Amino acid sequence: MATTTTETKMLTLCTSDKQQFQIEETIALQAVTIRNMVEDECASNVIPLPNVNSKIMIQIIEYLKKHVDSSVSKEDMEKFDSAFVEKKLSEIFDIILAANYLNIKNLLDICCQRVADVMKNKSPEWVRRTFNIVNDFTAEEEAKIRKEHEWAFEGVDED
Amino acid sequence: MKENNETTKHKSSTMSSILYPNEPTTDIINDHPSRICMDELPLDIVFNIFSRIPLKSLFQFRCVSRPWCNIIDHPYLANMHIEQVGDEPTPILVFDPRLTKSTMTMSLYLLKEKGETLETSENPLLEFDLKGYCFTGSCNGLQYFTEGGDEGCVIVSNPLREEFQRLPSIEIQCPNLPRWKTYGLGFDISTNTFKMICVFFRELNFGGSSCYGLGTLVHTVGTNTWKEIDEVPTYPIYCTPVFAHGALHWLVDPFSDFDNFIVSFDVGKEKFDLIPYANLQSKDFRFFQLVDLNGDLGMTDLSYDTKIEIWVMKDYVPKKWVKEYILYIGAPCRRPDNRHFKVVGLWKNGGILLKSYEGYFIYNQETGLTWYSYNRVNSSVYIHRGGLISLSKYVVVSLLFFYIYVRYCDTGNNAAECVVVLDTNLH
Repeated sequence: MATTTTETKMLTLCTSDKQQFQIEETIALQAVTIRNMVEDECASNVIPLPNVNSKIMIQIIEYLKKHVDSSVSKEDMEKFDSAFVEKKLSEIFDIILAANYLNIKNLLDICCQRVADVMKNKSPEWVRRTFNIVNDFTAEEEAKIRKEHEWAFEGVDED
Repeated sequence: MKENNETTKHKSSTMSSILYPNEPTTDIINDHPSRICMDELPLDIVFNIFSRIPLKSLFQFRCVSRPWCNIIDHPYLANMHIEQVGDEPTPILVFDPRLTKSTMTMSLYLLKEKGETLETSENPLLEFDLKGYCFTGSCNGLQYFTEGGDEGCVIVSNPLREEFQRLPSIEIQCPNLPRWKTYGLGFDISTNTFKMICVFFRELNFGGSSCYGLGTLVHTVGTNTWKEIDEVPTYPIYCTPVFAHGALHWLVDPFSDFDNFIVSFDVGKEKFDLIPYANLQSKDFRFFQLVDLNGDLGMTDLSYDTKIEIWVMKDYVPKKWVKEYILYIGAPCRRPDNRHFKVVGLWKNGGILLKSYEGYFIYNQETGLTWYSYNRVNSSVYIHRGGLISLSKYVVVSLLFFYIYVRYCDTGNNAAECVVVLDTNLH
């Protein structure tokens, strides 16, 4: 399967913690930010990615390697994606920021979907605790806002 | 196989222990809860996440904090949320005052199934004291109610927001003409505006002799006027329209000669067009209807004895109808024909809500047809595609081409405040 290898073009990515990753150009170009840098020829051999650390980069490369492979069926790709986002929220947030910076739309979307799936049917209290949000409403204000859409507060998951 | 191409360095890179020889195996920093801070995310990502959360949760999350409330109420999110498919349809029961003499109040309730009963919420979502209005249709989270009289009044409502608004009235000075008017609400994605259109009878003058013709008025919700456009439907239209793919769709009046077409109105371009039918067994108008299937255009075929077929417009350019649902309604309620059935819309969990003179039925692929009793007479059930759109906030921004960004600023007492800036220059 692997078309042998003589001419495979490689790119070197350098993360914020100065780790270097050498990957095939076709894999890396799925990230629009990298593609633009290569196309504009403003990238030398080493592409600096100061907004991504190596821990996240490893995961993003795992994702890109799978998605460059056109022989993977749609079903298997969906399976891969749903397994890929089975991570701690903190990690998902880091991947979101990196995917946003690298401009990898599908990766950004599946991670945002993951966060949304975790949040749905949770109570406002759970959300505040999990995302460290300060409730800046007074008790009266909050009660008023709850009253505005009382129907929405039936049947919330146990935290 | 593929691995051959990669350098040794990268091969080993999946094992973080090699890259991080000095770090403990569990990453303490990353597990610390304070790392997860939604407020640090860029706003377009917050919108992306929120647009994927079901409406019910979003309405709860309004009370999380002030910035969250502002984001959830923002028209930009409402538009984005409608674009994401996946929210369950919201069944709404409308208690119609025309059917009773004792009250003039039209009330809207949420509806859910409990056992074999359709049960309304304890309190109505919304009530308005206006006689003569009837439910006409819905589009992207808004419902509209029209009144048949001379003035041509229209009320637009987001029942989930518990808001309603009366549109400016139409004055058409044609005393000799029939009062017939038909309305349709659509959403123009190119300008992010809702447009109500009204097709009416008007008097035309051909060299001194007058005759009837049609006229078309368009009103952009949030403005004060109706404007007349040159476009009119090629054929007389009837039924309430279905909004899908950026256009309104009507059946052609069955008593005209051209009844094998659907009349469409592109809400952005403000142009009428014709669309051929799905490949139905019968061309008899008594056997079909147009139906809103949670944002998709559906066409039902009721001409079979023991089943109902529903075709869905899957692609719009070019047009492609797909036979998506077959409802086997034979036993246990076999009837001479299905004409008295009407498909109301999609129910939860893949069900389909049907109405007949016997009441309401939910069809499920596994369980077939089940009859449901419901606890309010003089009322009708509609399936509503819920939306976040707030009429009170919509009015302000609909007049601008807006580009928004939200800034978090520290107000000194550690509370993040959300500032929404409307910038007319950037877009």
